[in-house]
Amino acid sequence: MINLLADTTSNMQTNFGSVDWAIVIVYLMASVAVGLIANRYISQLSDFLVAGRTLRIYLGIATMTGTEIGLITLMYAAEDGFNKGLAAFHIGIVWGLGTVILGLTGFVVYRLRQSGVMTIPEYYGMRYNVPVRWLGGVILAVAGILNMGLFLRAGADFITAVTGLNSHGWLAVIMTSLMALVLLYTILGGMVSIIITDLVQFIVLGIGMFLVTYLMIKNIGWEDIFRISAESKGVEGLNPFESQSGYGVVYVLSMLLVVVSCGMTWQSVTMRTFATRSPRVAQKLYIWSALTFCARFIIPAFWGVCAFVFLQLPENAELAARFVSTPDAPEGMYKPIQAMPVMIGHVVPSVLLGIVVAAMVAAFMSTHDSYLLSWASVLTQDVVGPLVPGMGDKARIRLTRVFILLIGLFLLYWGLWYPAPASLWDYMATTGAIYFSGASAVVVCGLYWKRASNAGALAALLMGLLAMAPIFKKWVPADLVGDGSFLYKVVHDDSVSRVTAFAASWLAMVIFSLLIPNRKANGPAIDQPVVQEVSS
Amino acid sequence: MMAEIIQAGENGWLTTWKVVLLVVGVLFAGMGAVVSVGAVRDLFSMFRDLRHKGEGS
Repeated sequence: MINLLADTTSNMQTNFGSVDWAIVIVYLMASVAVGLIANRYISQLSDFLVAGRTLRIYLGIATMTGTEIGLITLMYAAEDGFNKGLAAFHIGIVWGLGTVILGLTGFVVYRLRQSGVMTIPEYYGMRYNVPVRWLGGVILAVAGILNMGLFLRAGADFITAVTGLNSHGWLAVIMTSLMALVLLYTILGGMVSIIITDLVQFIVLGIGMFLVTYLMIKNIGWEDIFRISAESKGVEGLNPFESQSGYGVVYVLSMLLVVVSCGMTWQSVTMRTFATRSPRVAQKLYIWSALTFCARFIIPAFWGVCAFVFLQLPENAELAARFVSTPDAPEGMYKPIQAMPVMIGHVVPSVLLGIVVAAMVAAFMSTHDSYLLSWASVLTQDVVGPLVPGMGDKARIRLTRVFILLIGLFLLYWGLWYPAPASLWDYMATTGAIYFSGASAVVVCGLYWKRASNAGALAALLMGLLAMAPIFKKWVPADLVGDGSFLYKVVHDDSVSRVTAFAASWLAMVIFSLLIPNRKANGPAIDQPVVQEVSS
Repeated sequence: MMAEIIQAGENGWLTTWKVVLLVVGVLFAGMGAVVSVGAVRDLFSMFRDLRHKGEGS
């Protein structure tokens, strides 16, 4: 503790004081209390996993927003805005467009809710066979857990930067405390407690986001933010199709594939779909949430742009000198991902800062709880479930709770020891694509193509693993394969590997389904409702 | 001439991003207010449904 306090005194002071600590701690305690109260409403597995399928439209939107605007979202979007300028906004537009198209057309969403399943791999088991369900479950859980592997560290990076406790020791203490809190109330309450806390967090987070944006604009000036950013970054910081922008045409295309597939098949998103009262409500949920998906990237990316401009101002030269450009920083220095919280800590006054940090910690918790429950339920329902027939509801709830605990411990380990990537957003998109490049082919073809076969589904899921190629980049140097070769690009360029994984999965699905059709008809076709709609 | 075209392009993008930010910000704030009120009402309905389910089982 003495060392930690010594670290603190050597750091830059922010506006975060003891009143702000009190606000944050009271908020966290209240969240845990909600988890304890919600536990009374859990009697069946469906209550624990999908809140007994009782979710109505407004509550659905609020909780989906609470989940999908996590602190991790704010951090990676702000990092992209800080590094790449206003061009980062295009990712928000692609998210919004992709989601509204799914909602308006009902493509996949409607039929998937109609199927009555609780997880995507459960759908694989219904439409294909047990091996497809099992492999799909394993790949989904691995990709999902890796995907949330850096949530914890990004959350702790935020808190250490905004409070001025910027040291490796404090980072570890804050990571451990946050994880302990989230585990406590997710294990106790399941989906019911998640819905309640997500709603409170939606309201607190909304107020926090409004306050931060207003204070940033007031502090720097609306016109100056855009002018200084454009002058410093040039056209590369404005036009996402420009190859020098750090994005480019292939990148934008890969984003479109990522967001549409994510909307159709990502467990934490579809879980909300499965919890709705009817397929129509599920569709409406997507239409309304499109704006959220758009805003959740654009607003924090704007904060990143503001942080960049803030550090360009002459009066902040001393603060700017403490920043390094690499994703890992030496003791006491700041990295680019911390620019946004550092700025918040300097422009938001005390008391308001406490409310804003409580809102951000709320954002952290609301994402973590849903994701923990998502991946733990996939492991229980789709990986262990098929191997242990006859497991009852109580045993499944117990097992899900054990998986939540184990995943939490893994995340703590991974967050502390995994080296920070150059772009947190690309890490997220790549780990996600491991799963949904294959899953998109398996789900879409399963719902809309009668000849889709078990062999095709297995091949598509395996081909999705191509998205992992960038993990092996250090073993594939340019002199081995030539730096202009396609293989080199697949391994070294995240966007090329993502597009390749999608193309290979879809091709494999079609080719193997035609070559090796199922001997007997696939089980329940989704042309007809499998379950009765619940009248609203 | 080339410099003017580049400048016009930059200004076009700059205006686009300003408009996008304003529209998204205003719509998001409005939606947040409407959804918050509706969601609190839905929450109580959900508890009622779960309680009825619990009594029925």
